[in-house]
Amino acid sequence: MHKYVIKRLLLLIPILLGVAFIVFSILSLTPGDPGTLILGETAPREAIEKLNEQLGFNKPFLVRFADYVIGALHGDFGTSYRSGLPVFQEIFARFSITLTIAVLAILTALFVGIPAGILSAVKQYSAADVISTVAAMLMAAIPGFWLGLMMIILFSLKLGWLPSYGVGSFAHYIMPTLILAIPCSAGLLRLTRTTMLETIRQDYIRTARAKGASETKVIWKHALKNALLPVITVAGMEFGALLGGTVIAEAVFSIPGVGMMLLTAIRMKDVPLVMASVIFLALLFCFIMLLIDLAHAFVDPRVKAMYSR
Amino acid sequence: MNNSESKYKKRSQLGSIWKRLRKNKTAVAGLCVICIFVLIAIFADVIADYSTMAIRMNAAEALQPPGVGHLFGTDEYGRDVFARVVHGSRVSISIGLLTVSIAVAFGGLLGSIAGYFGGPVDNIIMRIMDTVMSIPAVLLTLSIVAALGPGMVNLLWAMAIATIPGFTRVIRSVVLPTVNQDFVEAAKACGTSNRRIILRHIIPNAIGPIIVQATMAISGMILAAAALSFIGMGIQPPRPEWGSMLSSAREYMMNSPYLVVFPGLAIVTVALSFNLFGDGLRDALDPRLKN
Repeated sequence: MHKYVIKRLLLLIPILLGVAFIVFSILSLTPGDPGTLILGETAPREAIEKLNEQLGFNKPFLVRFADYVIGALHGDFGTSYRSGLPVFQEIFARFSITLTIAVLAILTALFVGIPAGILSAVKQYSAADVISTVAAMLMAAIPGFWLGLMMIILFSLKLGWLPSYGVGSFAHYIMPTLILAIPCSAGLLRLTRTTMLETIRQDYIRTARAKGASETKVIWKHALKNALLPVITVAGMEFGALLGGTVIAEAVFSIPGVGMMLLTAIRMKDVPLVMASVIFLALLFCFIMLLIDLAHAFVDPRVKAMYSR
Repeated sequence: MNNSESKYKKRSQLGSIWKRLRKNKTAVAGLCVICIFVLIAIFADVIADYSTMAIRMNAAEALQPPGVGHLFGTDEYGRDVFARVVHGSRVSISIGLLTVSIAVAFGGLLGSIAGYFGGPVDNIIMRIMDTVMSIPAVLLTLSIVAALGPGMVNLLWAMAIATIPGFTRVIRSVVLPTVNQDFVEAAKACGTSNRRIILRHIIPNAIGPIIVQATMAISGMILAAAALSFIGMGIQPPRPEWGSMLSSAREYMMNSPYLVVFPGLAIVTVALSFNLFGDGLRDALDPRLKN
């Protein structure tokens, strides 16, 4: 088990290097140079050239990448071209907002998707099943940003119940959370239903019924534990995707989170800021996936046995 | 004789899939709506003229509510919203179909190579895919669009690149079980080349799940393209696209909510139809999951 964790942690190194390389290459294809970005279009040509020279922009691509990696290994991820602040200061100032929305969204999705999925599978072809599968279909097809606009029209402009932009109180988080949670819960509902239906037909469920276990016990103790394993994995992946994918919700509700910061940074070619954020988000994603795999081993003795080999 | 027999068998399998699919009312409804939208996209110029109705500005007719002259009303520049929704279907549907085709082609190639050869080849391909997958898809797409510049073709490639790893994984996982089957062994024993085995034996046997996955991915791509255009990183105005129409309608949505309603409904309808059809297709291709 320890060996496995160490192996996975070591695997992070090539993955993060790869991520850094991919993003660095894409960004270096983007037109523009840092000197012009920092000093502005109107600055004298010589000053721009000098700054570019200082930042190492005129060196060959691979040398620049190596410089970046060496700097990063020493903990120096650079300063944002636009604000001049150290990149992680900028990221952490906004990360709490994005994290709050992502956590609220995934919790909402879990609380809606899993119970509805179980109900739908246990009572297959009942009215509840039909309603929840149709709702899930519809929810998966609604673009979040459109739903956001419609909700702003209804709840902010017409009814005046919820604020339509910015952050501050809890009420500010309700609509952004919902538009992220809805497609997510649709996916979890459908997955829970499918895995639950498959599990209910397994031999060990028949055995549990045959030995006289009550229906509640069969579902909650025998079936659920097995059916939820793939659901945990997907929920983790969704959470990772949410951390890097709140940009649309942030754009709809003008929320100053990591997503909006990154969108501006990508447009402005603020290389250090984009690099550090993407590496940070990729690291988080890998950690989440590792935790999920460990959670699997914790829940499922079969998986645990596989690791200890 | 032999030839005609195999032909007969092939037809009967497709026939039975079609028969099962036809019984599924929601899937048929989805297919019908998809066909209608494809027809609208093809005949968009016949339905509403592009240059005079969809992009020409006419301040005198700005922000008219839906009515007889303008079925869906007019936008802030006096352009007919119905014409713009019709022409927007061209963009959305072709983006959906093309991105998924690119992703399936590359994902299929990489996935089947990884699954078929195994060992170090598999390891290298899959580690690269893992790396790409750990970059949040939205951010990867955004950076590629920023690097290539906005526009339909660039958007297509950006979205396809972000989707390829997912397809590679799925295709590898459906290819893996077929690799050790007897017919592959038999083909190898006959001295068939690796290329031919992959193209003629392995891919056809794994095609079902790939088609289902692809159909379901189309709606995701349409939604993603609309979202990217909404934040200004996709299709650029004045070209009508549902997402960018919604984006420019934001300022006027208090007094002219219809500007936000119709493009959104178009997205929902198309996305829903592809999902319903994909779902039905999965049940028809793999009847074991039903009942």
